[in-house]
Amino acid sequence: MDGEVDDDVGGELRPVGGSTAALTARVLHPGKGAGRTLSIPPVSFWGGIDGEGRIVDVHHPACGESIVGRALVLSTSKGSSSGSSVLAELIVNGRGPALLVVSEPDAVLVSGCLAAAEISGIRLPVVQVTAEDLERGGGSDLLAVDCVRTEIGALGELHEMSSPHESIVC
Amino acid sequence: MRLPMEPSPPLRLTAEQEAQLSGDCGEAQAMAMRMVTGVARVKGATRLVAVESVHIDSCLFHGRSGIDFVQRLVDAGAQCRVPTTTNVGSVNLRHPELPARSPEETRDGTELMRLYGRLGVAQTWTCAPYQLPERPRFGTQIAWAESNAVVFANSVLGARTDRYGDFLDVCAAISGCAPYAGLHRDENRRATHIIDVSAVPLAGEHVYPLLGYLAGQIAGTGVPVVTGLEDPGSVTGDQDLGRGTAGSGVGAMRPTEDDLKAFGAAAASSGGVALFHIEGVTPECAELEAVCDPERTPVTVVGPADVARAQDELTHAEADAIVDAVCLGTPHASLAQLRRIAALLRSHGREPRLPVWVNTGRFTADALAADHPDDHATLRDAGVRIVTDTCTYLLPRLHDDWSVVMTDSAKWAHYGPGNLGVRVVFASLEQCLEQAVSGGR
Repeated sequence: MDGEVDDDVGGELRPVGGSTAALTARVLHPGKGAGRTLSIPPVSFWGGIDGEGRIVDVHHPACGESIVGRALVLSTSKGSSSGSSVLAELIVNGRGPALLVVSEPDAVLVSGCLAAAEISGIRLPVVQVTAEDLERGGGSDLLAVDCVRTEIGALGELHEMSSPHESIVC
Repeated sequence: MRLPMEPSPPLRLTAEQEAQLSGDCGEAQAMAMRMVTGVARVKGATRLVAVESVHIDSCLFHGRSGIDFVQRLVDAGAQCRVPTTTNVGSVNLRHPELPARSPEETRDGTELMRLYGRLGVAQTWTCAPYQLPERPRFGTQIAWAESNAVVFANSVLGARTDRYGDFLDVCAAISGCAPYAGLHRDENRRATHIIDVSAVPLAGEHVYPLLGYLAGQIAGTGVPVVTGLEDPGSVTGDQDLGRGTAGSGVGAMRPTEDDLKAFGAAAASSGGVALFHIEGVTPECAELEAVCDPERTPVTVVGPADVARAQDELTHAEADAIVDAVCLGTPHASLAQLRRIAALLRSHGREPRLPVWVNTGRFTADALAADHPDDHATLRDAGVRIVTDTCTYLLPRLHDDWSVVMTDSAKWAHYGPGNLGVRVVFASLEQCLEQAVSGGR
């Protein structure tokens, strides 16, 4: 990557009806994306998520769920730092989530996003919110961020939407 | 009352770091600095720290993106700015006939290692770089990956590294710097958990990995400090045979570096421990008060029942299971451990009936052959298979007809079942070799 911004990356959100609100977030990796919310306890990407983006850790309560295209909400990842590679591989193969919302500054996940952006130009947005807002955002149907031009560490907004399921176009 | 989300503090770069980031020093430096400064902002660092050495783990194959990433660096002419070593890869380059996960993984894993070899690294291919002759001194800032190497460097050597992982490790090597955050900073090296082991009889060297396993469960990603080791003395770098006669307990003997290696590797596997202290043993902890306020730090008392439970949790096979093989050397065996295996085999006077596999570093394997030819011959004549460059728990096809493996490593016991689908019996090194000689049940 040479620092140029690709505005075509990420989803476009067109909610019909329902309510929207914006939560203040710290941008940990710039990008743009929207998706149905999947709120889960911490998971190890290495060994816990397979190459198709499915949670395969049999001890994890969301085992069997797919993270592909979702707004993945989790306080932090856990386990091996090889999780960076697993996430990068998912992003590059089009099997990544649409966006990541965390409440702790997770360097393992962000390293994977930075590497994927370097080799593919695909920018997976990662935002950090307070623990309270993580719970709130995790309870909404849809989440979206648009922070393609925001520097890492600066503030942005996480949009939460509660609306009929068919009302989003990604 | 809601605490608002704050932006990261400003990250201040030196003029040289700015030049690296801007591309004035070439695209390889710019790419590396984009990664390092990006993670620095995530961690809230206000500056970078120059590092004196790097240990790279990204050379272990996890997917095509790992190859694409390092290929970009190689194409841009990247070279490491600081002395850099390489962790294990997916393939034993010295013995490529040992099968990796699949032919594709053998091919891709080899390609990845060869690409890393072009960055000006020392091709050590070991998870125990602290066993090499050159190692970080107390207080030096380094950027190491591989959880057991990180915890050893921080705890036993007193060097300062945060937990580095894929992509960031090689970028620290190329840029020569890392985010000044986490365990690079003194204030984050204080103990968060006191673990009192005074009720544990240290009967046998395998108690150290079991205590490490428990310490990881107790402290998670925190910093445990162990107190109550009976008359620990100070840690010894003494790498002779150490233990005295076979069957004698650890007793009041000082923990060796191999004991501390086993403790740290276990604690990093069962929890996420990147730094531990042991009162009177590790270099930052002459006494408890040096690393915590004992009145305000939670204390967990570990007793013999906890140690027995740890041993049970690391043993997945039934008591009467037939053992198919013995795997030693995770993390990579030291020269002292290789010599001890040879001495124990000689004491039995019989060849093992079970396959015995030992992982070690190239340097250590070469040192054994050159400096201790009798021990080298003992291992060779006994049919002991030495694996360098990788680890037996990364070679699943090695184990096609094994269902039960005995090991002296809590780390192997932790990862072996998931990686290989085998069941594990955790035991001391002596018990492992007794089993190997007597065979079967």
